[in-house]
Amino acid sequence: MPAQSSLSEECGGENAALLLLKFLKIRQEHKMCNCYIASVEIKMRPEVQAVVLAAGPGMRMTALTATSPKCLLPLATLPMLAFPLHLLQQAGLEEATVVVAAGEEVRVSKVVEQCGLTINVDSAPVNTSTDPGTADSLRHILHKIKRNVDDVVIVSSDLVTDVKLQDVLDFHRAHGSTLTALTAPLTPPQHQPAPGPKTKPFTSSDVMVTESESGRLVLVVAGGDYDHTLTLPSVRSSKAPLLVSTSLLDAHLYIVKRSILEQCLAKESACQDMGSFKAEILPYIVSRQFQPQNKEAGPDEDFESLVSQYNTSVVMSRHHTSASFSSITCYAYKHQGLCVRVNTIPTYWDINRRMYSLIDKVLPGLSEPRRHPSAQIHEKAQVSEDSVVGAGTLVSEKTNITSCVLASHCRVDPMARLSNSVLAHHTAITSGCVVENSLVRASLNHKCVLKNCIVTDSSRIQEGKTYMNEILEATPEFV
Amino acid sequence: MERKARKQAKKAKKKGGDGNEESKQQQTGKGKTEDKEGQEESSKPKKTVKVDKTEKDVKKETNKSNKTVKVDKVKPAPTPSTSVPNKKEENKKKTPKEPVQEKQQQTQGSEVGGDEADGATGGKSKAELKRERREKQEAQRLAKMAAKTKAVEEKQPKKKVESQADKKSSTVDKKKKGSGDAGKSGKEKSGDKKSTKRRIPLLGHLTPPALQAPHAPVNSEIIHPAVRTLGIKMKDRVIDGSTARVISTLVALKKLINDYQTPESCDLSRDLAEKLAPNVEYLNACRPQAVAMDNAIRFLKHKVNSIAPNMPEGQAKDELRTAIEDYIKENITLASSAIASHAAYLMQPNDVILTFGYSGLVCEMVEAACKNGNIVNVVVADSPQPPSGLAMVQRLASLQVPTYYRLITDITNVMDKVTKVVVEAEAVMMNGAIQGLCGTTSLALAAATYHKPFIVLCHTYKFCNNDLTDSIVVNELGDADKVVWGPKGSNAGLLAGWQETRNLNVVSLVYDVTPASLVTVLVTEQSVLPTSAVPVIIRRNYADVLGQD
Repeated sequence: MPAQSSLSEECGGENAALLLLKFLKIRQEHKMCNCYIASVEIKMRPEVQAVVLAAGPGMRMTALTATSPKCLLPLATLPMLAFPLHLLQQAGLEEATVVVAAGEEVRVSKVVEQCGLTINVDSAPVNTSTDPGTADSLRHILHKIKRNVDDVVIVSSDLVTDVKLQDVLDFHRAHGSTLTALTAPLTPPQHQPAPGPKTKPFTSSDVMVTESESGRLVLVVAGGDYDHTLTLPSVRSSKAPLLVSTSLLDAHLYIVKRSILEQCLAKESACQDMGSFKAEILPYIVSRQFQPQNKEAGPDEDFESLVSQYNTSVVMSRHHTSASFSSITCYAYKHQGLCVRVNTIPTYWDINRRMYSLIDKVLPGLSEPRRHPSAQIHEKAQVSEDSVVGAGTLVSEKTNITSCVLASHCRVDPMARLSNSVLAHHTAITSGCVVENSLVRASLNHKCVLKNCIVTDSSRIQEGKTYMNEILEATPEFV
Repeated sequence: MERKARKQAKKAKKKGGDGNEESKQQQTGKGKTEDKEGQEESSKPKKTVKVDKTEKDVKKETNKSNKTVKVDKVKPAPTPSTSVPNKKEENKKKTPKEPVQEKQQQTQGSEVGGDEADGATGGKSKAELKRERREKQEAQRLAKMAAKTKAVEEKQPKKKVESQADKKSSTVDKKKKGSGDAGKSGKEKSGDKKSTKRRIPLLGHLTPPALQAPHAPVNSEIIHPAVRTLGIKMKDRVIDGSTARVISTLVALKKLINDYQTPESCDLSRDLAEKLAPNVEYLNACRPQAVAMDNAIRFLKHKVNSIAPNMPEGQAKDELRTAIEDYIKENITLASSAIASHAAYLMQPNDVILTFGYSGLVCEMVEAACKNGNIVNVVVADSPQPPSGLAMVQRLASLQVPTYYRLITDITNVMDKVTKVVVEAEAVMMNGAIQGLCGTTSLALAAATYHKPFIVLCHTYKFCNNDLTDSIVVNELGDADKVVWGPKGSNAGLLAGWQETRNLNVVSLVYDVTPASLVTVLVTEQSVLPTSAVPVIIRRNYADVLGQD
């Protein structure tokens, strides 16, 4: 090493220690460099790839999604997409493939920097004119799934949860699962009624049959795919007690083995015509667990049979002596905390209203302040503690705001009164407006009173009028 | 080196600075640390009588030491941080960590030694080295003094300060090397968890079972996916029993080697050994390694180290893969059938065999005995938690062997019918002692009482050159909650809150140690041996692997 020889020449009595120190420093730096290079050059094989499905048109909340794609609808001040991305980032994932509707790529990729996320987003546009299902979206990006990963995490863009992805992954690994679905008990919305005309709640829920102790999935039928009666196919041989549930929410977070996903999405597979992952491919994979498998007679590379021969474990698994596990096993991870899919107006409304208390739970580490420092709130304005105020929002004097969500760059003029309402980005409320329990996505330029309303088109508002339980949206052109 | 010394001094100073705050809390009288003190015993009574004076003294002394330290270019007056109050927890944490720390220091020491050797070739005289060492010692002494003066007040053992400083500086140094960060953070995390759990008297040195796998980000650059999956499976006891664990560990490491690519300008053997270490550490953090696993990993490391530096990567990897496969084949597959046939030879028609829990080897032996035409009856004694014997009964039933299932509490009732007791060992120690799953010793005692032969089956790769005389020094703690919740009944969970109950300790040990005197005969793949032959086997077969330490 050149540094060493030059140093040794200089070495003389007094300075020796200092020089040695210098020398050690150089050596250490050298070593660090080596390590750094090594870690850049060679990484351990990645285990998991994440796919976020964000191309959904939001069919169950058309009043809101007419103007902006569903995945960019704001929840409090953040776009919906930030929540699943944050979930992935928390688990340590460094990149995610996001399937978006064509034309929205730029806006979607801006979400990341806008929300202070560090995850790399690779957005893959799909043409939404043909109304692709989730399975079609997956087929579209199949080539983007790396050949060497073990598992693919599929998340829907409308998932808001406080689950730790690591826990679900650990569960998946420990069970040697082929497919793990995140489920949680269905909870009715806390904030009711949602604005807009009164509608019947969406009733037909999914049916999930699991083994009550292990959580193994036995049967999945999506809501709407069955009539009044449902016949359980007699596919089971094990005697474990079953749990039939219609009160479980399928959170649309799946961890699937890459091999089986590729099998199902391949052109010549049995599910080539299936459009929805949840309603069609998931039940298909689950049902395949109990179909007789022709065991591959090749050499036992992993010594699996040898392991099971000596395994003293009492946990039933494919490594257990007496267990007859097929090569496909599906499990449901039952999460007991918060887990909501924001795909209807009531859930959207509910999550927005609860976001004040939830934000620490669902976005740990991403400190989005409830009162953004750049918001200007007049000292004479009354803004209740449980309101969320976004960046650049201007609240004038003599206003009264209770339990509201004001997204960024809103303007509230003097003398306006807002309660229990949600304002989208860039909404202006003119003076004298009274807004109660409403969802406002367009500026109110005239003085009016709104109760339980959804406003997406300001031109429908007339001066001095009172609106109750209405959706004020742009009328379709042909009318 | 001087840098290190400085760092130590700083750390020690910082500890000292913290001490002031802490002492206020501790002055209420904490008995626990007192007995550890030893040296400062004499200063204590003074302290309690004239607090004022000692405080003054301390101030003076700290000032003085500050000055002297300044001369030594240590940054003065560190601001006292507020993160101290859980000193007690740190105390606890330290005990199990010490071996690790020692290891770190050792490795570091060897490194420094290497550096010095390099330096010496560059013209460093002995006197210079000596001088440096003295300087370092001086700095340490000063740091110690500074810490001690405060420690007098806060009743903190001097030793601890020093070792903490050492530990910190060594971890910092290690981090600087840039490797194994995730593994380490995982370790620290498990350490945090330890402190929250209550320690059981006499068994405080054992690591409590990991509640969660050590934290490492998804797609970690250090931990291989196969290793991580295996770690979680071992932690959840999906894979249990030393033989199964050894096989799956080797398979996981084989996958790692498969995916491994040597970076440029690096030796395969050196770099791979470095890459293996954090993975092994991860497995260890998930569940403490079994003796057999330790042997198998040593074997693999030995193989990796002995790869010639100029060997092409593909060839080296092939060699390692075949080495692993051969190891499994020779030491497990073939050895098992040899053991089974040796042991079956000891069986006689209409023997009644008592065995314990699930054992693949015993099953194979019974199978071999049946093939020989000796119909044997098997009594499976099982521990209530975990009831692994159920799988044993199932497997024996499929062989159409007359089988009886009893709990271990009830073996005295069947002992006069039993003609032989056959168990499988988890490990065999140098002194002939048998490490088996907890409960094995009860069978050995019962066999000795009823004068029945106690036959132990064991692969020779599970032989270990340690001596064990009891099951306390080396053991593993199981999940005590499982014992409490074990049987499903109306009173399950009666002790659910045992951790809050004072003076109640629930212990679940994984292994026990049967002394050599209770073992009639040891059946290995090499031959049927008395326990006194264990050292011979270890010397003969494992000198190359076990010898390097």
